[in-house]
Amino acid sequence: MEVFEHLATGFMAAGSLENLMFCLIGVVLGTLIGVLPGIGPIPALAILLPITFGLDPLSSLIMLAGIYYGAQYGGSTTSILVNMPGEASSVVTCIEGHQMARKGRAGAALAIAALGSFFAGTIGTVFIAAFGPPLASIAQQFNSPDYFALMLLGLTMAIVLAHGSVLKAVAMVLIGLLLGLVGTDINTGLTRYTFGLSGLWEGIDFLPLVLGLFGIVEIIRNLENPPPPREAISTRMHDMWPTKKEFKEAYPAALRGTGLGSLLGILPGGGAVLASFASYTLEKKISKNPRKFGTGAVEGVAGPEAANNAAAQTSFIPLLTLGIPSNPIMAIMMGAMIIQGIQPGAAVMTTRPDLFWGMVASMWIGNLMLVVINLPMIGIWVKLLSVPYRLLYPAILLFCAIGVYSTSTEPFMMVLMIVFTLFGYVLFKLGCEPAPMVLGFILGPLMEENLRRSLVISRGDPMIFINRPISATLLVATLLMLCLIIFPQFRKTREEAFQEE
Amino acid sequence: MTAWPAPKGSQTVSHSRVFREETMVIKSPQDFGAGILFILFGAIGLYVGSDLTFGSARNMGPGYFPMIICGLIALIGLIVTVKSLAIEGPAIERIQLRPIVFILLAIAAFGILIAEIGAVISSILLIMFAAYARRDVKPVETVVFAVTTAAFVVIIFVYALGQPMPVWWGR
Amino acid sequence: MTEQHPKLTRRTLIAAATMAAVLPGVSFAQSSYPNTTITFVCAFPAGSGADVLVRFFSEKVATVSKQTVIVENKPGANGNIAAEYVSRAKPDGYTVYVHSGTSTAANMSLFKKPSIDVTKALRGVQFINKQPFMIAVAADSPIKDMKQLTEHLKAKAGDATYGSTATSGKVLAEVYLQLAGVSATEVSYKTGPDSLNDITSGQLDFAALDPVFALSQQREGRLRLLAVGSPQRMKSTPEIPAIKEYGLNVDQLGWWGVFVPAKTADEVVLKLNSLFQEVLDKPETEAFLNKFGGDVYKGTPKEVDELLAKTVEEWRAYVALAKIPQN
Repeated sequence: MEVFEHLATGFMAAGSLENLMFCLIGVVLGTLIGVLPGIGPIPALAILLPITFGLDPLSSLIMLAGIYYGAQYGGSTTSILVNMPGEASSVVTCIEGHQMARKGRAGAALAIAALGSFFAGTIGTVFIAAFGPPLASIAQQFNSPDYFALMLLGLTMAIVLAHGSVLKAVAMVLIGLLLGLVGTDINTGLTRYTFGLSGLWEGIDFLPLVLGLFGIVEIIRNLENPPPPREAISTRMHDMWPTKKEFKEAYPAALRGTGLGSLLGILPGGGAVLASFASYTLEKKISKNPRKFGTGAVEGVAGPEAANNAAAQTSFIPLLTLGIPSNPIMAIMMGAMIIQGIQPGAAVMTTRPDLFWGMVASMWIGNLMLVVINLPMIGIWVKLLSVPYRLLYPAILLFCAIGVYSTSTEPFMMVLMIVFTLFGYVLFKLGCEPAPMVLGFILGPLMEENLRRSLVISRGDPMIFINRPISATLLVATLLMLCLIIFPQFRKTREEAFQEE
Repeated sequence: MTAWPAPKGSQTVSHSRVFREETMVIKSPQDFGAGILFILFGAIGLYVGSDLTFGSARNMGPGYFPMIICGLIALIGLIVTVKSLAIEGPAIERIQLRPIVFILLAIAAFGILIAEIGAVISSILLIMFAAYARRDVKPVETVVFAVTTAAFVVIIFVYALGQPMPVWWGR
Repeated sequence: MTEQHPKLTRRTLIAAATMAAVLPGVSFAQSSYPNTTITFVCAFPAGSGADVLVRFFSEKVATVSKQTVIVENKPGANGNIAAEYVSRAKPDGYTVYVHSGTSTAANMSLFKKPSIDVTKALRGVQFINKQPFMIAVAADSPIKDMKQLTEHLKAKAGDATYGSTATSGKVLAEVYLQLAGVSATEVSYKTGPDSLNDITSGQLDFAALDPVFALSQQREGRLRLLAVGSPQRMKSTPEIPAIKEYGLNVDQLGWWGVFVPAKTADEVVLKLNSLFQEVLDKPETEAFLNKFGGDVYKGTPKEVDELLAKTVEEWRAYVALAKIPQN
């Protein structure tokens, strides 16, 4: 098969000693930076980008991809250990992963995240190699109305994310939508809800929002109610490794997550973020025991982590085949390629096959290195938890502040972080969950933009959403999802779960 | 942003918790608080957004989408509040001022001062403030830890990664 | 090649060491400028497309000046926050604003009360590039040139739509529509890629796009570029005509420049000008800027000041013409 020939070319190019070394350096640096709380893949890539300027094109791209995977995995580590997501898709990992850690299963959660990611990365790589170009053409079929329908579906899923009251979850999604609209309205150029603060003109920054809502509120919670002193954490392999039962629960979830992530990752915009949220929703929906979600369900770590990583792979497809960066991280990769004198796009495949396939091959190599390096390191990460909390939390807080400062040196960012810490604290006291809000925050602007665009294009005719097959299908799926939520029996099990808390 | 009535709202609610047993008016203090929060959120959104052009479905103004959302938020707030009077629910945990105040002070100190006095001292300040969010602070240990962490920050972020942070004051 | 990283760190350490060594009797003699770390202020968040451009120049200027150059990101308010920050910095040449001159000038009329008067608070140092926005249609569209587009829009009699990215795109399209005496409804997109599917599927009649995106998608065979908004054809894209060639007097050129606080001394400005000139003369810089859809643009500090003032005036007219609401 042609694919194998291509992959062989790729492995030849990426497998040179030099490139293996850059891949390794990238993965290690990425992990080390990404594991600092508050520094997700985007700041990590931006910080480390100049290091790759002097390398030849393939080496520099391999190293950058390595940094990306490393930072993403490092981010999952902090999500699990200290409830500190560095980017939108790790918000989901926090939900179950951190609960597992609180129950003393941090090692298992990290191992499952690593293995799930590796598995998804492998499949994702094969996916790109085999179906990259045809998949890209599917993504090209998505027009504004289809995106609107997709966002609607995504937001409906966000409601299922919460394990408390449905009504409150809906309200949280809506509040997220509203917060997402703060800033300049792209249609008119007028600012909305900025309260006269110029720092809000370009919208609320994601990093201070998510760090305040999750990480810092978590610190305050722990200070208010110190968790019972853990007995000395055992780092014997036996206690760190997932049990047979956990494995059995995890692998089908990882499989499904991989599928979801591979598909959604191709879509520009919220694709990769949707993937991890969608996987969580799916796992919770099909679980025989949905009430364990929110208390450390293994599937809730394995699925989203796999989805996240598969999406990370397939989000390269639009960049490499269409020349379209589908998310901010791909925009950095595109910038890096341009600096190297390469114009991303389908032409790369024919003009520089060694580069294209070398990069694809390096994705798999990078994922392999990631798992090889990180499995033994799990012991070290878990040991970090045995650092007395009185020392751990000030350090975490400091890294959060520095993470925010490295993306923007405006003091206003710190003000935002303070505001969202306060807001998150109030939400926590009132039993409202912030995760659905984050999804609303990310998808909200996309939803409004595409709604308005669709209606301008259709001259105000709402039938545009029903006449297009893609959007019609997605709207039906949204309706089904809503029925599932309103369906009485389902609601009952939901409320039982709620009462038990 | 200061318009968020966060702490005030929660205080009224924690107050109501005290009378919960006797009056039996609010059966679910958490939901009552959440409902009020949603109503306020929606109301503020409607008020602040009222001067935005609403437009029509064909040509939506900047106010169209937010107005609908704010309306929905306020509506849900109303339902949640009413339900909280009828259906039993969890109480609101007591608010402890010390952790939140010191943590926020720590961030504020860092954010305001780093450009003026540099990464070393602002890092030390952040760690010190944060440490005092707990009661039994060990001053010597905290100072030693703060200085060590600040040194680490400067070596990694300023020297190795070239981040735009002044090390000391006076630039 | 591969030593870039160690070199970077070493340079930083050396810079730090020298600084520490000379600190007690430090004398910032301006003749020896630059003798310490230079900060480039970027008005975009770390990691965004334009941030890459600033970081590219920070790397290159670091090499020619033999000083460390760091990039400080001050995003927000359409660049106003960064411009204001630079205007208030010490005028010693160590705080340098690398940004779109067009956007800096346009802000003067996009906001009711601009926080600074850029022509008074900032001083031009050097240009970076010039890049026009471009008029595009789907590659398989029957419309082959601007004349046909105008006829097509006339036939549609106001029922047409066009996509635009950024204020510059909107302004280009509105100026063209006005001069050609036709009309179309605007559909705004945050970025070029967002608009691609709506263009290629024929939902939009045309689009006014930023050059990076427009050129890359032309190369990919998905877009046909009808014209550039600049008064002449660009050196990097000689095959694309200027709108002016169709008798419509469109002269809208986007440009990037380098700015410092207004009070910066002449010799510092001249030195910085020559450092950037050295970078702009390199073939790899030209190749890089061409990929971003623009020609290298060089000049004297005085020329930068003049163009900035001219652009401010032009945008006053554009904002009125395109009926862009002010904030």
